Amino acid sequence: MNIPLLLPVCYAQGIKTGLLILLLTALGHQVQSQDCHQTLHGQVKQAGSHEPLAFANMLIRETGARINTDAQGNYAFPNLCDKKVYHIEISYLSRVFAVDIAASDQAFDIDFPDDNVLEAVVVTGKAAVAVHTEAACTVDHLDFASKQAMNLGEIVKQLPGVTTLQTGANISKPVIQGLHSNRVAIVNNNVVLESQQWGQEHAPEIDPFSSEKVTVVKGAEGVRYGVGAMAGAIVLEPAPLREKHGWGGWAAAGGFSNGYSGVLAGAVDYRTPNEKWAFRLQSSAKRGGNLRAPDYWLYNTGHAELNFSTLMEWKQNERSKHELSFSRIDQKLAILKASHLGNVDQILAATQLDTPINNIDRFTYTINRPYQSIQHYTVKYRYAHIINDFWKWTAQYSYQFNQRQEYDVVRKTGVAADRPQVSFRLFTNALDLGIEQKAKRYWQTEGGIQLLTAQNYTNRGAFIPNYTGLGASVWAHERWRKYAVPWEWEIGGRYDYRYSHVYTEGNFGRDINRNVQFGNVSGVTGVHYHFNKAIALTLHSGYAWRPPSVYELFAKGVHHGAGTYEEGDSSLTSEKSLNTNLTLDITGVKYKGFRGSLTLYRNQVNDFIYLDPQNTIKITVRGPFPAYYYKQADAVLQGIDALADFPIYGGLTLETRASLIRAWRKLDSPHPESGKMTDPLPLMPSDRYQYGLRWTSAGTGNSTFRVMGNTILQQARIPAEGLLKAPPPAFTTFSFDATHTFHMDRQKNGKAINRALELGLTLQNLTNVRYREYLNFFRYYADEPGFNAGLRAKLTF
Amino acid sequence: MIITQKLLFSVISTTALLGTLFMTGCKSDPDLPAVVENITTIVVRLTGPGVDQEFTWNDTDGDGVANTIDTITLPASTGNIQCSLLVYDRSATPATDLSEEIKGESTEHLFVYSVLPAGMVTIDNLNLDANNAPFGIESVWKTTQAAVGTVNIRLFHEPSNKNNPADPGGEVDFDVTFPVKIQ
Repeated sequence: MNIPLLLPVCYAQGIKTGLLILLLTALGHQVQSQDCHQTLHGQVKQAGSHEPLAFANMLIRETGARINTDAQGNYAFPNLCDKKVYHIEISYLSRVFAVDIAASDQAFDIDFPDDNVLEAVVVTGKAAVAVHTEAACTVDHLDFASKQAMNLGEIVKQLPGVTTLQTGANISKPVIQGLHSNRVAIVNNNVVLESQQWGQEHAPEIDPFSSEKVTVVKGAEGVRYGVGAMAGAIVLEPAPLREKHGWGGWAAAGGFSNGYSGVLAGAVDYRTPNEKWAFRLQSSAKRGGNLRAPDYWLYNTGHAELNFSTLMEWKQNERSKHELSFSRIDQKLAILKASHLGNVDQILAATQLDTPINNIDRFTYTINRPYQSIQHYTVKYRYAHIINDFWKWTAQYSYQFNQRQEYDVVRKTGVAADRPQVSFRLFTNALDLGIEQKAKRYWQTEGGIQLLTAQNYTNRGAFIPNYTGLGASVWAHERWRKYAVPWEWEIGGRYDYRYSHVYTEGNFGRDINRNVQFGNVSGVTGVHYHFNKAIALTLHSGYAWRPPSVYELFAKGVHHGAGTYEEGDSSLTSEKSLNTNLTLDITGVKYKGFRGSLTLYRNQVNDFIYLDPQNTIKITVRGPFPAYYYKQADAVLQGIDALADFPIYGGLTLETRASLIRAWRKLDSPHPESGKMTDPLPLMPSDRYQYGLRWTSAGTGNSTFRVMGNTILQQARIPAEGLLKAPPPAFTTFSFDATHTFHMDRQKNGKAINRALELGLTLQNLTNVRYREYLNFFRYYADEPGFNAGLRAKLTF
Repeated sequence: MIITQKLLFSVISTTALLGTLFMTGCKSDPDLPAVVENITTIVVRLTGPGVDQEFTWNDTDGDGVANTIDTITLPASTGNIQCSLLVYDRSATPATDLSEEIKGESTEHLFVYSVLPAGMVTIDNLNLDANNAPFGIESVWKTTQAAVGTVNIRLFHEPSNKNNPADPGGEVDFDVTFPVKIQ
C-alpha cells in the first residue's frame, strides 16, 4: 500500500522499423543536460503470459552499455543523463518481440507479445523518482464508485486504520488512527479545507463527485500539510483536464432504496483547438428522505445537496501554466428528531430506552428542525513556471468562505421562526509559494512559504467568540535515492507561526479581547528499504503540532447537541505529536498476486487536549447540566493496520483487513493513580475486521463482484469516569457490490471516440441487522439504518 | 480562430464576474443576527393577600448558566396568591419579552410546576390555552405552614400530552428551580 497502487501508464506508440529500438526521453524536451545520474530500470516480461524475460540482452547504442536482464527479468542502466534520448536494443534468443510499455514513476516495465512484428517504441516518461516514505493508501475504484454518492467518510472508511465519527448517516467525519477533526488535514484540489471542524457534528464540506482519486496519508504530516496534520491527511484530486482538443465528460445517476435518495452528477470538459485552454464544469445534486432502521423510520434524517465546480487551465507557453478553479458546496442536513432533547433528565431517560423517543415512525422528504445548512466556497488560482530542466516554482492563492448555520427546534412563529440559532462565518485566504527541484544527483528538493489569514464571525449567544487569525510558515523537504542502492531517505522541516485576535461583539457580560500566539516546528524523516522488487519496509517518523483552537480556549456555555456544559481554558498550550509508522509492503506478481501491507504505529501526543468531566453540575436555563472543561494531558495512541489479499483461483481473491488501536492518556489528578498512562481515551474505534471475496472477470477486468463482511467488536476500553451509556455490543454486517463496464469505443471520421458505461449495484446491511456503532453520536437514541440497495450508472464520453 | 478566442475570453470573464458576484454577495449579506432564543430571565410575579413581589432567575451573561436565583419567600397560611410568569431574553439590547410570544402559541406550550417537599405549596388553577387544555403561565398558589423547599418550573414546547404533567413529551424550553421559604 505504500507504493502508489495505481501505476501511471506511460504514453506509448508504435513505429515500424527493422530493429527493436527503444527511444527513451524524459518529458519530451530535447534539452541537453549535465546531470547524468539518472537510472533507467524496470522489468521485461512476455506480454501474453506475464512471465519475466530472463537473461535478455540489452544494449544502449549511445553509451555502448550492455547488460542482461536478471532471472526475474529486471534490468537497470545507471548513470544516464536526464532528458537525453537513448536507443536501446533488446535481443532474446532468436525471437523478436513487439513491445508495449507501461512504466511508473519508478520503473519502465516492458511487455513483449509473442508475435513476429518488429517495432520501436518511443517512451515519454519521468526519471526515477524517490518515493515518499509515509504510509499512504488510495481508495480502490470499486469502493470509490460505490460510495461516491454518500460522503467522504464512507469512502475512506474502507481503508485499514480509517474509520468515521458520525452524527447519524448524514454527518460523517473521517478518523485516521484514532484522531480526527483539527488533527487531520483534508486537502481538496491542493487546498487545505478550512471550515468549522471542532465539533463532532461538523462534517467536512467535500463533494466526492468533483474528485477522481482519494488518498489517505497516515502519520504526522505537518511538514507537507501544515498545522494540524498530526494523524495524517486525506488528499482529494480531481481528474486531470483533457490534453487533446475536443469535448469529453461524464454523466452519472444513482438511487438508494433506504431513504429513497437519488443523486445526479456530471461534468463536461473542453480543450481548445490550439490546446492552450482547457475547461471543466462539474455539478452534483443529491436528495434523500428519512432513513429506515430495521424496525422503524428515523424521523428527520433527510438531506439535500447541490454542488458545483469549475476548472480552467491556460498553458501560456512551454514553461508557464495558469489554473483557476471555483467550487461551491451547498448542503442541508437533517438531524434525527429523537436526538434533540431539552434537558439532562430527558437525555438520561432516552438513553435507557431501546427505541427512540419523540420519534415519528413515517417517511418524509421534508427536512425539519433541527438541521444544518452549510455553504462552502473555494476559489483557487495557481501558477506554475518551469525555470529550467530542474527547477520549477509555483504560486497559489486560495480563498475560502464557509458559512454554517444550525437550526434548533423553536417556536413556529415570531422572529426566530426562519433564523438559525447558531451561525458561523469563516473567511480564509492563503498564499503559497513553492519551489521544486526534480531529481538531480539523487536529490530531490521542495520548499516554500505560506501566508494565511482567517476571519471567523459567530453570532451572539453562541459560545465561541469572534477571531481574526494570521499565520506564516516556511518549509523545506529533501529526498534521496540512488538506483541499485536499496535505501531511500527523506527529511523535512517546517516552522509555523499563528496569531489570533479573539474578541466578542455586544455579547453582554462576556467581554473578551485577547491576543494569542503560537509558534512551533514540525519535522519529518523517513527511510525506505527494498528487499527486492516486491517487498519493501518503510520507517516514517513525523513531529507535528496544533495550536489549541479558539473553541478549546474560549468556549463557554451549553453544547446542546451533546447535552453538556463546556468551558474552554485560555491557558492551554499547543499539542505536539511524535508519530512513527513502520510499514511492510508486499506487492507484485512475485508471490502469485498476493498483496499485503502491515503498519505498526505509535503516536505520542504531548498536551493532548480533551474534554474532562468535572463531577459538577451547572444550573442552566434548561435545568442542571454536567460540566466539562477543556484540559490537556499526555496521550499515547498505538495500533496495527493490516491488509492482505490472497488470490484463490481464476479471478477470485480473498480480501482481509484489520484495524486495531489502543490509546491512553495520563490519569487525571483526583484519581489515586494519577499521572499513570492508563486511562483509555474516549471515542476510540473498537477493533474492526473486514473480510470478503472479490471476483474480477479475466483479462479486461470489466466485471467485479464482491461480498464483504464487517465485524466490529465492542469497545471494552473506556475512560475511568465511565460513559453515559455502555458501548454497544459487537456486530457484523455484510455488503455486496457488483460493477460492470461496457466499452463502446468507435471510430468517427478517422478519430477514435472512447465511450464507456459503468453500471453498479451496491447492497448494504444485507441481513438487515439491528446494530449501533460506538462512534456514532446517535447510538444513544436510535439504531443504525437497515438494508439499503443502491443502483448507479455512469456514462463517460 | 479569433472568434473562438473571443468566445473563450467572454466565458472566462463571465465566470470571473459571476465568481466575484458570488463572493460579494456573501460579504454584503446583511449580517443577519441569527436570532438565538436565549431565555435568560424568568420572573415569578406573586400577588395576593400581603404578597406583591417578583422573584427572578437570572442568567446575566448569556451563557445559559444562572448567575442569580432569588429565594421565593411567602407568608404561611396564605391562599389565593396569583402567580404569573414573565420570560425574557436579555442577552441583547433591547431585551425581548418572550412571554407574549409564548401566550400567542399557548396550544404549543405547557408550564409544569413541581414542589419539594410535596404539598409545601399548592399550585393549581393553571390557566387554559386556546383549546381549553392546560397552559399554566398563570396559576394560583396557596401556602400552609412554615417550611423550606423548592419549586421547579418547566416550560415544554410542543408537548404530546398536555394532560399528563408527569411526562408531557416535547422539548424542554426551560427548566428552573427556585428555593422557597415559607415563614
